[in-house]
Amino acid sequence: MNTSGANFGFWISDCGLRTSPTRNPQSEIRNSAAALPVWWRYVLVAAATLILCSCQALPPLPLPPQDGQSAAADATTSESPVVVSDSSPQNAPVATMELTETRELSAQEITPTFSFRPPNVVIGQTIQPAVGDESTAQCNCACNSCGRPSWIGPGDEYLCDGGDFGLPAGVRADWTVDGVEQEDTVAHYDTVSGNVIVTPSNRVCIYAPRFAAVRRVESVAAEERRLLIGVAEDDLNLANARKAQPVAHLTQRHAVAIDLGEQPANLFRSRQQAGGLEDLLATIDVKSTLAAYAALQIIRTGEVVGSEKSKLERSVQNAVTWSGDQAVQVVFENKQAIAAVGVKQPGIVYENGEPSSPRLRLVKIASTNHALPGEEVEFTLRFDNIGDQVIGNVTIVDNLATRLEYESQSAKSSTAAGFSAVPNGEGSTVLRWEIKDPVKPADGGILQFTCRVR
Amino acid sequence: MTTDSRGERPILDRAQAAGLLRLAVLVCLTSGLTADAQGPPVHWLHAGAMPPGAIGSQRLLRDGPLSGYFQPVRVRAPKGARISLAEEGGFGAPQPDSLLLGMQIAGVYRFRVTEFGSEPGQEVFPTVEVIDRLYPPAGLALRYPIPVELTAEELELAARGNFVTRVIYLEDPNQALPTSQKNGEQPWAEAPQGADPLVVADELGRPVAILRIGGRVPTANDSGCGQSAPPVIRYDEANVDAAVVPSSYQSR
Repeated sequence: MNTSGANFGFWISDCGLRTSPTRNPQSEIRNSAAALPVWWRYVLVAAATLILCSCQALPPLPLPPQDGQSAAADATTSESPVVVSDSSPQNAPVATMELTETRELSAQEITPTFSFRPPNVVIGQTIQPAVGDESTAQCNCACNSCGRPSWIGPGDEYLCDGGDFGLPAGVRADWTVDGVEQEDTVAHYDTVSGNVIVTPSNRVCIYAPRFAAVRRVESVAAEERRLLIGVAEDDLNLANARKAQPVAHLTQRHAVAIDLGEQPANLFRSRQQAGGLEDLLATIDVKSTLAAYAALQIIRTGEVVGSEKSKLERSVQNAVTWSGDQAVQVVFENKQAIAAVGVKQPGIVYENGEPSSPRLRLVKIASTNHALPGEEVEFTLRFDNIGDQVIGNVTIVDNLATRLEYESQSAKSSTAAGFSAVPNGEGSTVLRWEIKDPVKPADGGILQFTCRVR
Repeated sequence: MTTDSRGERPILDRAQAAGLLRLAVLVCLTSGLTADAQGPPVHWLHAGAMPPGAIGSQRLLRDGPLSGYFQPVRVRAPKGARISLAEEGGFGAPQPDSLLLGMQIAGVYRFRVTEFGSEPGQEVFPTVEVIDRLYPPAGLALRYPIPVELTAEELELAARGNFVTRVIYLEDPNQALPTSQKNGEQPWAEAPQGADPLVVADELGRPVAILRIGGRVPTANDSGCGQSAPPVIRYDEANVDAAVVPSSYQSR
């Protein structure tokens, strides 16, 4: 006895094909089923499929991460081998804390000055990110495949930034970068062998909800009034134009209003004075003391101190939460560097997996991980060459999200670096640092800038 | 055996049909997580002109930790105006500036606003209905409440007999304009002629609250008044940092 077939027969008979309640159910099943044409069974199967598929629950909305640091961790630890080593530069020289205002670069000055480029330069080559980076580069941080089942709520309360979406980014021969759309964050750099590598960063989100409203005013009286006014205006205009023409009086009124609005010439003259540009180019020494959140030994000297790990962990998490960090990538000798997130040290270490290879550590911290519109957030970047070879042409590019407004003249650097802040055409800014000198082993520097949340 | 030996075997017998049905069920269940044919969870089946509380009540039927959650809402009155919340037994003491309250989804909270405009003695009775909640990081719920602004212009319109519907929505970050909010004023737009403000807000973001302002004096039977006043939490502005927002159940 085929039980499933019998059950299916019952199901068919319950759909209205039962003729007599006194008959034997088994024989009734066979008779009714045999009476059914074949096409009717196909219709039943199709209808059941359609009904079942139409009852699927809605997919969950894009969800924000609970902590931004795990996004970067996933990008490097999911598949790629994690290389952890005690790479603290014990003999690292103390970096000078004299932060200088970074001057703005002209278009001609943006050409890198790193000098040991070999002749076999490959321009525009784009190398895919590391194995672990691909997941975050192609994946919205709020999607389910990122592996955060504990997220709650949709992601529209967060500002997401980073990655390389849309057209892939590439570097032209004139050092212009194409394919960096809004919210994209990429880094490009030169290798010793002459390749230009473009690598997207991970995608991160910040909590900054902004509200607006849609209004509607309903009133029957208001609609009637509009119609009456329209008719009255037509009649009055014609009658007045033919009889009396006090045009001179009206013209004079309009002229005064226009003159008042079009004569702020003094303002433009003052803005275009040369003195303002000279101020921009002047080097302003800022012997600043780092804020409390950044007054850490690793920021000042690059030395990792165990007692500061808790403070650093919180600040790093703030930074990862706040902005699309430029994941500075390093490719040595045509080998893709691996971003390694260590449990023994903060920051991200990029290496090619071989012993005695050059490595770069980048630590980014922020003053807060959430803000209301109008509040400022300060970012601090500390980069260190903890390898044994010279690293050159380190370039960091940050295309700020629409609601992050770069505070003019806020960029500072402890090392010689060219800086440019260029509008991206979408209302936000593209920040670009070019470290002028090659970074020697056990050397590093500090970058700082401030943004205001719109 | 169930094989039919009397005649020609049908192309699709019962066993095959049952197997196909099971296969269809299996395919539909396994593909359910990626099914996206129904689109985003918007309010397009609703209308802004529905009675207060109707939209929020239907929102509670959807998935999410909404039931029992007190969403912080900041209701701001124009300068000089006085605002008071309706509770059991009447309106509370009028207060200037703003109120920071914890409201439940689908609850209709009625206010009385006085001392606004040029004419003395004017008063209107707006209602606020929360139809969705926010999901801020732990401990920041009171720092990021839903702002509900009562502008002097809209209060005047309501006092002259108009009915103002204002749908507050959370901006879609992908559609947010790169403009700064001046003096903390909430940007707003007029719904096009004939368009439902709730539908317009759904297209621009995620509606979270509906403000309705009319010129009619409510009775005890109106929503938000008398016995129908929903539970509310009053937060002390001076001790916001120490206040705790009750959390609802976790649905996932």
